[in-house]
Amino acid sequence: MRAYIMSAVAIGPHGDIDASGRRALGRDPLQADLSDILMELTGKEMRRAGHFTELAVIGSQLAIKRLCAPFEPSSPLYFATGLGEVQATTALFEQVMEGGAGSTSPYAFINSVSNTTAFHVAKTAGLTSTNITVSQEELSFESALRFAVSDVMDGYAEQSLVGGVDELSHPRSAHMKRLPLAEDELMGEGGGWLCIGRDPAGACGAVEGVVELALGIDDGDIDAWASAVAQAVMPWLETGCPVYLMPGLRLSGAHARALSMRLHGAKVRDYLGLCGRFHTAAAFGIAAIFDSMHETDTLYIHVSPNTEGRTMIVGIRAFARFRRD
Amino acid sequence: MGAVTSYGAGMDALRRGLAARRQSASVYDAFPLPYSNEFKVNQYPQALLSEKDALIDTVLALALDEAIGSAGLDRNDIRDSALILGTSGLLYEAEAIYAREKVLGDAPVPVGIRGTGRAASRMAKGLGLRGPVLTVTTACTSSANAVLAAMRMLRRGDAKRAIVVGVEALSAFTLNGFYSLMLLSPAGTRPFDAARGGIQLGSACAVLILESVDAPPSPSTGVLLGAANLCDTHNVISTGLDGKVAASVMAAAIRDAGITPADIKTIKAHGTGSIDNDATEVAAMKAVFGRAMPSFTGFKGYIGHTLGACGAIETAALLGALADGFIPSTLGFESADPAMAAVPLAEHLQAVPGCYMLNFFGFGGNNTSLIIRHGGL
Repeated sequence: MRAYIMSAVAIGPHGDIDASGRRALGRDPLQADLSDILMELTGKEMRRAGHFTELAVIGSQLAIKRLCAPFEPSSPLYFATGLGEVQATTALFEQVMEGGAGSTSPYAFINSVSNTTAFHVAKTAGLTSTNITVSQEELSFESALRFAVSDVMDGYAEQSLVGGVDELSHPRSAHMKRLPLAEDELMGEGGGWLCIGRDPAGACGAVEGVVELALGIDDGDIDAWASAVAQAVMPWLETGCPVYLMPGLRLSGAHARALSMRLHGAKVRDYLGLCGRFHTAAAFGIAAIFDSMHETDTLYIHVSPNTEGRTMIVGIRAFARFRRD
Repeated sequence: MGAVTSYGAGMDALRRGLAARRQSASVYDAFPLPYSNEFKVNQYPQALLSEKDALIDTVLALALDEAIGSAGLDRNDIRDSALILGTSGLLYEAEAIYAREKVLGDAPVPVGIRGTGRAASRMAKGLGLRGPVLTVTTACTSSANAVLAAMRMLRRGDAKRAIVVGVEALSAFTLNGFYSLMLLSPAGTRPFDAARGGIQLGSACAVLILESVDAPPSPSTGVLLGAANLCDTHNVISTGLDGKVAASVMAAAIRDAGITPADIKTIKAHGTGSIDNDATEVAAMKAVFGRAMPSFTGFKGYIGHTLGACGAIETAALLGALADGFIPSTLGFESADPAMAAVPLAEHLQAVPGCYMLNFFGFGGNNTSLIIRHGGL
């Protein structure tokens, strides 16, 4: 049993939703105005929802619209975010902590609730299904993807929808402290969505696996780390198709090079230069694999360590154009 | 199981509080609030609150060590476990840091901490866990969904053992939010009562250790038979008043458990004490069980509505009470609501072997039901 990728959408910091809109970041992005695309997709404004929810609704709506077949409303939804609706939450937090605020807006509180965005995604998509929000810092999307894939493979559902989204916020120094990232790194926002299915007909790819290793990159033994990761992905390499290594948010250049060598010279595909750095950047990177058609089956290995001694690996096989298993 | 509640640290304190039908609410005093503070809440004991920004790690350690010990394990035994933590957000920690920095004259950063997943990451690193680690954050169903996620991981064989955590520490942010929604009851919660007027918030931490085994090691060990989660998109803060989706999730959990509605002995209701939610829950129970509705009870009069922790702590409370031979009554309930035509347990009931349903509903239309078995069949 395999879990197939039926559609994919990466939404970047410029409001870019396909290859034509991708632009390399030279500095921190400005937040894009998403109202036009939201109106185009949903036919309505979401006046009480914030930018974060707009990003999520746009991505999920596009993922469903790009499907070749109808999306079953009973399909489970897994939503991942590292910081959630950070702009609204921090503004309300400051208001409460500074006292004297009097009555604060109930809408601001509702928007800060951890699963409000997943509610809006489900409501817009007409889903009345399992709806789980996962937040595991820089490994949030990988954790959600594992559930979305397992639900399909274990027979709980024929299809599932999984997405990861984060937004940037200001002041910059506060945002970088929350991530945490160094001052010289570019912050970013956006995310990605995948519709996962059990039926290979119409699939653009497949999930080879989601692996979590209790092994970080902080102890300095690069070779041992690279060896363990290479061993974990070995079953995916057997078909001999081109292999790309996708370094996640915190993977250093040295670790990427060491792992690339272990993977017989796998080419490195950098996507963080397009979306900037945020906890669910993996969702953008993985979904953006499908920005373009592939001439041959291609294996992408996304590797993301966190700062607490863990590494998660996602194997994605992009199918050659017109291929059907 | 391990627990820290407004009764104090330990399952014994919780079980004694339940058995004695003892109130444990007090006026919130962890942080100043931007409104006149008249609402009682269920807080951690003062000795723990003095831990300030170490509070979360302190209650996690207390509950975890108790759970490990009561399972006959030690910290080495749990290394291969999965860790699944459920919480609505843990902003208490951010408030403690903000308050400290402000006192020191620094320019504090609002929510100047990492994301919600940080507590599970810290815990896993400290314990040297090798299994999967994740945080489920679905408001008031968070740790109930952590139980569901753990059950599926165990069924799949992703781990032999799962540590499920529900943890919440009441923040000024959360209290203020519920106040702005006018959902708090100054008189305290009165679940399913004719005079119910809102909810009573609480802090709690519970740890459940779940294992995949062929047979439970003792008759008092609870068995998780099934679970289900569904989203009701009627309204972001309330379930549809007809209770259709809530009924669907109960029915789905019963199917997942491989039993029938007639097998349910008692329902541990979500029972927040809010006017609409209690009525919706009763409508949903009636839709599933019809005239053969089993007895039902609610625990939020004892320990408050502990938000993301309520799934784990109320499961622990029910299992603890069942092991002690009773089903806790609905503290706060006094008079029946004729509009609902359903009366919760007003007195403790003697526990019997069989299946029990636990319901949890939350913001975001999130509904979860769990089915457990007690005492073997």
